Amino acid sequence: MPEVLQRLAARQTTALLLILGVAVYTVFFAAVPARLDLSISTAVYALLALSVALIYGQAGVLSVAQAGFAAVGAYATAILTTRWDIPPLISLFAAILLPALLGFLLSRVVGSLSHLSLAVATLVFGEIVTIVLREGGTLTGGYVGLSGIPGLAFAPDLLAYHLLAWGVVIVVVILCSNLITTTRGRAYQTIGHDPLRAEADGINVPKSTALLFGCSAGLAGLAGWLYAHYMTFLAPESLPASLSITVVLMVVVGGRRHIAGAIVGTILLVALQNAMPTEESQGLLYGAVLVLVLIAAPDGLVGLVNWWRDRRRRAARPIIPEPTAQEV
Amino acid sequence: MINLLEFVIGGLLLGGVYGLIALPISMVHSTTHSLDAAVGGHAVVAAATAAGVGGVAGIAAGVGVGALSAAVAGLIYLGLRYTGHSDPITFVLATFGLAMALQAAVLMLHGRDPITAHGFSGTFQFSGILVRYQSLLNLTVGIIAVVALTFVLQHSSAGRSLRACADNVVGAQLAGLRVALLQFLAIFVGGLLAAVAGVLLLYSAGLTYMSGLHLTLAAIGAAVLFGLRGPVHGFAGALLFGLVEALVYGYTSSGVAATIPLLFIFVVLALGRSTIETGRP
Repeated sequence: MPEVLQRLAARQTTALLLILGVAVYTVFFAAVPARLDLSISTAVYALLALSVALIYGQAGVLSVAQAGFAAVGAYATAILTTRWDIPPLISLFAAILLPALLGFLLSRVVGSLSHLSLAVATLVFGEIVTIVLREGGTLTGGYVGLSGIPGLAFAPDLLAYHLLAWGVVIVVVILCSNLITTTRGRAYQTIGHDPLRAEADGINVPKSTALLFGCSAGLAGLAGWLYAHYMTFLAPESLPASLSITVVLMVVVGGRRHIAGAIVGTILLVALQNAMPTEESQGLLYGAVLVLVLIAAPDGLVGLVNWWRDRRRRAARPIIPEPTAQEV
Repeated sequence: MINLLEFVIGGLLLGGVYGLIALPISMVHSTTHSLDAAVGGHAVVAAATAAGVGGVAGIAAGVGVGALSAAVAGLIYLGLRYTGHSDPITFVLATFGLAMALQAAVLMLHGRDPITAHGFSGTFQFSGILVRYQSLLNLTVGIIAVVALTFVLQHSSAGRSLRACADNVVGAQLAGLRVALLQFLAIFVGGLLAAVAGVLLLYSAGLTYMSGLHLTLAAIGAAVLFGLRGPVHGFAGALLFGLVEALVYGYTSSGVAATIPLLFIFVVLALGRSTIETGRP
């Protein structure tokens, strides 16, 4: 295989595996509506998880407001398409840009805080967004919400929406995987590792963090857009603040430093959630899994696999004996 | 004017209970530089247990179960510390997990019905305002807790050890203090206080299985108002927070009222007055 293609394959392993996985899933479950519905929900969660992985995994900034940004994006497209008959593809820009702008501004306001204060501030922000949407009167539909959101003409059925949703996820994975290997991506990783070192390297840490936060929020808005046009109905509790915590959990379980971690964590926890019969058992399982993973594998499952693989590689390396005095 | 006085008194009484939940936030942050995000969960599970069992035995059972959940939080901290992952954010995430599990447990045991019980039913007049004995009890317990905690922290060897951990963990270890045990103790006592607060809330405002997150946020908000400097600051912040909440609910619509306390917390955090530090330069 030409070297360029080899490098591309190495960089985009996650995307390639995802394409394969989606293809296999589609072949097996194309005619099962319940499975396609589950797949679409999983894709939306995966996008939210990727938005967390981007900002938390790369820049070390824990945001617990992603569901709030998704709700802003979802409501933006819902209001534009139902009130002003704007086509969904046009409202997509609002669904991405409005949360991105909010995220950028939020980061500029609270970005200089410590990790803990910032996490609390984003959690509070997410709660405020939920309340504002609930009290938005006729604009947001209040407690009742908005119904009659148009579907997407180019994804008229479940199978098409499933392919669209995962297509979007794959594109985002490709872009994120590319970002990590660029100078900009390494700058974000330096910020996450040591902000002072990043400043010393000439990186404008507040501005860079705010830009990435904005991108992360925009990505969450994209997830909200997909959600709104799939469900065709939105209520303030559709994307509640508690979903932000769930999504962070997915990223942590999968491995926050790896783009694949967001996908793995999402798929695993959605599968487990689906296997659990009740909300109570789901909550118990989520809590237990999160605590166990944080104690036993703080780099997540993908981190654990990488660690095991590296250990095997080191064990398989031939031991070169120390030269004796005579040989020297 | 009567309305204003009513809201002020109501707010201070509510703040007394918030103070009981804010105290753990201050204590845990002082000794571990992290937050127990399950503090609201300890309160809710204690309340649900007390409601389920009923009577005086229920109160004891509720506080006991709350203490147990607090002990679990402490063990989680020790587990993270033992495996070398005692980063403050990691503990917060772990306690989020614990909070989810506690919420699920309450849902399983109690269901979606409101968690309420009848406490002291009498009222008395104070400057033309009807005050419930239960509310006064809540504030009294809160004041006793903060006074006792302050006394222990300032005048006992355990308190001095806890303060040493808060000031300089490495120094405390070198001085021979069992830092891990002290940190566990801080988390446990904090959760115990939250459990007591939960039982008090059961007999006053009531709770639901989803109240944990709101209580945790209120506790954090109350604790950061005057900085995470100690129990007195935390309790004073809680009284102020209760006051703000009561006034906002009294003079505005319920929708706006729900936002104002959260905005209050956000502004305090954004202004950087919270002193929640984790070493980020």
